[in-house]
Amino acid sequence: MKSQILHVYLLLITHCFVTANIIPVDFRHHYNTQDTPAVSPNTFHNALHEQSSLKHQQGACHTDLFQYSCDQLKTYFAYHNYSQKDVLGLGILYLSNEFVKLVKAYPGYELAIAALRKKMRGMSSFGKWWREHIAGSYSPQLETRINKLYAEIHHQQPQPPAITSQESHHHVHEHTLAYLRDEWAQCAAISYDRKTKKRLKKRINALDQHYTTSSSPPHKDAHIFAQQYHINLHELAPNNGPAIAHVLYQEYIDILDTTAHIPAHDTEILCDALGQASHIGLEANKAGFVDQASKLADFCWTVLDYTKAVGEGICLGAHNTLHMCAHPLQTAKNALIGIGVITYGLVNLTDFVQHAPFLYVVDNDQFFLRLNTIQDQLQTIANATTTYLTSNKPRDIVKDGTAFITEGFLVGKIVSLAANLTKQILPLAMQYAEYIAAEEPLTCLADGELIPVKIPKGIDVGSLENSILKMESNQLPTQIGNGLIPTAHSLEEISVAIAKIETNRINHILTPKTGKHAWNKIITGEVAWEKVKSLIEKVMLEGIITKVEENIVTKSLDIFDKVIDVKYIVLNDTFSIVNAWVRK
Amino acid sequence: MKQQFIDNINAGKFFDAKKLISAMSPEGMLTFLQGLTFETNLISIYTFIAFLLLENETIFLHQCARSILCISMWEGANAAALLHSQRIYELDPHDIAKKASVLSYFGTPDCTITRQEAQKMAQEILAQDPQNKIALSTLEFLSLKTVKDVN
Repeated sequence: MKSQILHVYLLLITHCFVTANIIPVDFRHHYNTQDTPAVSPNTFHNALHEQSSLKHQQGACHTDLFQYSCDQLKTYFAYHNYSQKDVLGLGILYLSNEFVKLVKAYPGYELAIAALRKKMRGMSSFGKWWREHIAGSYSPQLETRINKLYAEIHHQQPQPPAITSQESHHHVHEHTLAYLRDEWAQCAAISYDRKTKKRLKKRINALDQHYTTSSSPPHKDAHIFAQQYHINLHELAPNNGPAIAHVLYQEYIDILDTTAHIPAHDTEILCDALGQASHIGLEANKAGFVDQASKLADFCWTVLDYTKAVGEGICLGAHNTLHMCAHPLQTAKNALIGIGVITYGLVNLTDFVQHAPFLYVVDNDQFFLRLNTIQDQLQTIANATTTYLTSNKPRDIVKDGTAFITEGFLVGKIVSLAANLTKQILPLAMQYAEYIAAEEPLTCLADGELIPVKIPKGIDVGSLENSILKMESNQLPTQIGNGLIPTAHSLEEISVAIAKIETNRINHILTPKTGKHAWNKIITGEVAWEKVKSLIEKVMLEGIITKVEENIVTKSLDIFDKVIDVKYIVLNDTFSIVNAWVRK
Repeated sequence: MKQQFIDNINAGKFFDAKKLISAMSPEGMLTFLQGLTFETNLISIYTFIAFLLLENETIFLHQCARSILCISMWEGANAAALLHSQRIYELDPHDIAKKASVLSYFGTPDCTITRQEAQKMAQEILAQDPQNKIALSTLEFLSLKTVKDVN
């Protein structure tokens, strides 16, 4: 077997040398003209041979074409019956300025340059070595020249070489650092004047971070994670795109790297969403749809911000069942915040919903989730995506991961992502709501619509500013108050009054020893003040005044077939809660 | 003045305490005593009212006593407040609102009104005031309880 291979190899070598003999040695010294890149003598071997042809053997090769002027070349090719296609295919002659001057006038010049460039980029290392040292049809100088000519056509600076390895990835960044910075600044100022400055800031920060860490090892984890989602990072590198595409590409590398470090427990849905969104974003970026790629990157960062913020408190696992896990209540609330954040991201991504307010704030410390809003938005997205996917033919192509990207297919893919994600998180949102309601029956205010929450420290509420509805200090916003029975007190006043209840009175209300206030009739498990407090809040908000005697007002509310009474005293225009119980 | 009043009632000097608040209007006195009870939870405030009641039993003083009991954190305060409400009704039996006030204690902690008594009382109130909210809500509450008990 080995001897057979050796035999074939020897045959090939023999063939090459035979072919090489056809090439006149006279060519060699003519390459080193003043404005022509230097080429090693080996480059000449068979220089005109590879793409074509017998014609070289018949005559062209015996002529010193590098000495010819443009007109002489023209005459020469005409005399030897070269077609324009034949001339354009004479790769090595592109090192001659006169030849280039001639072929630039040919209609197929641009395509020929593009084809040559593509061919050279597609060559493997061995292939280049073979053509350079054996076949003589390639030289690094020729590739540089072709790249320059290609750049001239596209009015671009020379592009960095294709990313074929992690090492070359570094090489690209070293050479284009200043170039990308300038380009990005221009993009940020003119073409990509986004609604939020934070998005730009985040992107520029990512760029800065990238350059400051450019000497660090490449993101191996990003590549490993990418492979899980069949993302070929090398193929999706924006070799020819504008600088913004390079920046976005690096962002996606960062996104994938960060995602790869998220603990897998209970995060399948998010990791899936990030993997899929990154894949679509990279494809969009590669295809030149930088706006969509930018949106998808924003979506990924939004999800990542949340994921990193809640850490282990996250529970959006595909197999997660709330009734099985004994998560603290705040964890469930955090998950609900997360669903809100993701919904907010989906709203921005799909534009199917106009507004995405899901958080309400009374002050810097008090936030309320509006559960129905999240569910409504998710439902709207689900309906819209379903309608889109069932009424557009490209859906079948969209399903095909190998489909090339047009804007229509791209939108289809984004919608598919949104549809899939919505399908997964909508039932979760409802489960979490049930869980919270079961654990803390009356935490939900206004018929379960408002849920008081503590925002995890890591969540950047600032970036969600547009989705936060600020409550006026004296009244509930109209859209919240729709379902409420008119009350004399605002939520803020009630919160303040409850906060002022002293410890002895709390103990008196709880009656932990005697159980006279019968909280155990409505609260399962330990009768904790937090739970009773929520009940008092609800009664104060929704209850009706049943008795007013000597400055003391009683408000009552029927909850789960139990009547809760809350008494408060009004002195000097302020009210103070004095007692509360479940009526027996 | 507040501290002086507290010192007097704690020392059992009810006459001196009475002098301190004698200049107040009934509403002012009520507010003063309520505020003091909410702040201090002193049982001597109630004792002071009881002293005044011994001197001269009036509906107003019973109302004061009742409100103080409602505000306080003493054990059995609701039951005591109910007694004052009943006495108020006894002093003014023609005012159906006062009877309804008694009924309103049904179901509260320490309450001694039985279901039968509450039902009867509610029906009596509704006979005179068919729209009385306390009586109506009490009957509704009783029906709810009945359904739950049956289940």
